[in-house]
Amino acid sequence: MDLTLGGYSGISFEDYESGSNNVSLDDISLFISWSPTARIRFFSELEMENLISSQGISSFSESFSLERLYVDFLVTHSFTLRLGQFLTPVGRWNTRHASPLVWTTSRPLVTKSNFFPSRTNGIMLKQQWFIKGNDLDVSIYIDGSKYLDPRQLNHHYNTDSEAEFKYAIGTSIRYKATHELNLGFSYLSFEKRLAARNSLNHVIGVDLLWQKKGYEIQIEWAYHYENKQQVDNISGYIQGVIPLTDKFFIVGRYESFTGQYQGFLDKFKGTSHFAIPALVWRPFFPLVLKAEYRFGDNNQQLAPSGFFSSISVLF
Amino acid sequence: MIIKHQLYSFLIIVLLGFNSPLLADKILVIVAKNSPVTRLTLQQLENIYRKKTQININNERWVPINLIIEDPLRQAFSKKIFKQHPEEMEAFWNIQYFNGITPPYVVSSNEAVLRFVNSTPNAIGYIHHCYLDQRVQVLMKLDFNSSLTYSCP
Repeated sequence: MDLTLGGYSGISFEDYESGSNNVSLDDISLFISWSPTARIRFFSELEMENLISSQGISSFSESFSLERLYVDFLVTHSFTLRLGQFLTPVGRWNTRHASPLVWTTSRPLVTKSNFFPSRTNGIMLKQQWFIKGNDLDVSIYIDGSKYLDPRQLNHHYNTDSEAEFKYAIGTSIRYKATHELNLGFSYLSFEKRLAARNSLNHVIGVDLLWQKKGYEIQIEWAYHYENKQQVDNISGYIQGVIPLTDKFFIVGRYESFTGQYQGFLDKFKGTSHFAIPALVWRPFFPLVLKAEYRFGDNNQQLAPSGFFSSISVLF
Repeated sequence: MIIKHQLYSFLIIVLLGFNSPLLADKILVIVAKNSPVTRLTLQQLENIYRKKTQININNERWVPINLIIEDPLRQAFSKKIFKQHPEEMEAFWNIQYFNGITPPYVVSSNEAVLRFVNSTPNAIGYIHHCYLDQRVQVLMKLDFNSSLTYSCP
């Protein structure tokens, strides 16, 4: 029997050029993993998000969420069946979004839940193949949040960013081409549940991660189409990491968005570019300190310019 | 006579030097004597140590074991299997930890590896070849180009 307790937490500071700023206790996250037998593994993550900030204190019910709760059945050494609520496997960022694990305080636009809900309620089948010394992982998943997510029974979503799936079907393909290079492809078709409207969406994404001796390049790009408003967009980012020492890192990220975006209250049409230079200090494991400045062109609506910093810890 | 001895000594040193690959250190990947697994590929070994492959052919959970990070054998093993130093694996293991998967157990000596593998069902470990004894069976021998600075019993 194998029981693991862990979690992470973080404090962030945001200072926008528009004049607003905010300090918040972003996350207090606790995860529990338990393997009662060799072939079964339970996993859960409970999260308190934005509980305390300079804007005030949120209520427990507002800030508490069940981020993940699933069971993995290891059917064979290469085939896994997952049931429950898990992170939607589109791209790389969403499935490892914990503050201590990512290089910047701000999240890339293409990975935000405005474009696809971050959590899936349903079933995922995952098969691994080993081809000429390289790993190929293929996952297929089906979401039935309309029936499986108890929060949806009495909840009306007011913004795109908090909306969950009504239902979805998707696939994720990961190929480890070399020890340094990982490639990914994602496809997702889904309907969001919103108070104002339901819409059918399609997301096609590609991603890449190259890592060697502390250097890193990460790319995610996705095309998104929504049939209700007949809007589409293409957005993504390229991010590089250069180690200055074994504790200090320079990070640079460029993002772009082209097309139309129909939010719950807002609408954007056009092209936006923005970039982030960042400095990351990992004085000792598991503490991470980050500071970054975001600026760009036509970006005030999608990703406003400003200074962001954070302290996070994995425990 | 002295010159002759010096010449022989020189020849022995040169021959030993040229034959160094034959005398090179080997890392032996080991399992218990009664393990149902009798062979592995390098890729299978990597996936077991990454915990990507978690169960064996009998559908029982693998229990991989590592030496401490400072051990030169651990360094050499990591370079051979993952093409990375153990320290470079930190980011990988942090992400695995986020998904509830912990790194392999760590013990402090070759003798501890032998005892652990011998006494724990489905355990897999590695030792320097000079520590091999009857308690375990060898699944794989890993050669290295450079010689390890290692103390043998």
